[in-house]
Amino acid sequence: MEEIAAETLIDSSCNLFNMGLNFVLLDYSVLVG
Amino acid sequence: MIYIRTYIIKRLLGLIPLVLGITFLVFIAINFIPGDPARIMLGVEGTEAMAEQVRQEMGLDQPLLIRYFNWLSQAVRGDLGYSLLTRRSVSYELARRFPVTFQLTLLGVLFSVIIALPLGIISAINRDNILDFFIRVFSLIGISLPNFAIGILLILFFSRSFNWTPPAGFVNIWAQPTRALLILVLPVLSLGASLAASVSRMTRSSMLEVLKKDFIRTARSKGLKERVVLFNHALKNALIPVLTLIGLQIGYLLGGTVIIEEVFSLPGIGRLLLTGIHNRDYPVVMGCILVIAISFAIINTMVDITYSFIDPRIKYD
Repeated sequence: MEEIAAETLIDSSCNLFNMGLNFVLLDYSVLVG
Repeated sequence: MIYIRTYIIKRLLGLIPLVLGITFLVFIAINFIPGDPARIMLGVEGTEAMAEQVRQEMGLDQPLLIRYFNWLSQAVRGDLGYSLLTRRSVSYELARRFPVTFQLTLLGVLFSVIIALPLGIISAINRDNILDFFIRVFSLIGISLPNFAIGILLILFFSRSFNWTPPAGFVNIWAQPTRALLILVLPVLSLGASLAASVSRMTRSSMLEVLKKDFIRTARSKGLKERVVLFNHALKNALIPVLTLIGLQIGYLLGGTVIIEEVFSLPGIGRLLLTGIHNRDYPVVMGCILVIAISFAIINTMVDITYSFIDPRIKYD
């Protein structure tokens, strides 16, 4: 199980990064113009 | 078999509260965004009196809950209403656009599974060497980049470097398969990239986990060919978490089509939803959300049923 747990942790941090980028590129640019 | 039937019926019944909850939340949310559909319909020249009249005609002056129940009582009878802006039937618009989103999602899933499963297996077999390293780096990039960013990069890359632009306009895949596939190449690539990345990572770790198990050692020691050990013994067991991931990710893929359809100008449900939100056209938004939510739930039920085919130990009761 450790293998899957470690990968899931990396996946979650990448997803967070993805969400941050999504916000900056899409939402923020729409909000601020 | 009888268990599966009751299980499916149970899951379909569970859909009712789910859809009620989702539609209610979306209805409240769309009514809380600033902006008035009557004003948007009339444009800049409309006066307040005209807007009031339009609101009355469309029933927008009634309380929120009453409007929701009106919409719901129509929807259960199969009538999703008419767009406030174009006056076209929402069901007609959805039926026209559903095939586009369906094709995009289905091809996205197919592409990612076809790419990701072999990559994950190769990565697991070559653990910690250069090939594994490259596959892992590419999958991390795939997970970290938002799909619309990949889409824009692909458009830039293909049109700048190769001077290749996909043919414009959407055509039915059954009518003109080659042309339809050419149009869908870039959207499918950008939509499927993140799914492919997470599936290949999950396949890798799940395979590594299974390859450590005792039954694999037994299979090897009884002299089975490595190919048989990998595909018949290891992969089948490693596929269960991968399948769960694919099932969950298809939902995100359906959501991802909203942006991808906008980036690639595809006339699908996602784009209809986006214009619906811009125009505060709530019958359209509600119709789109209804279709997306029901498809998501049906796909998840289908994934849950396929478990029993992969692992006969899984029983439904």
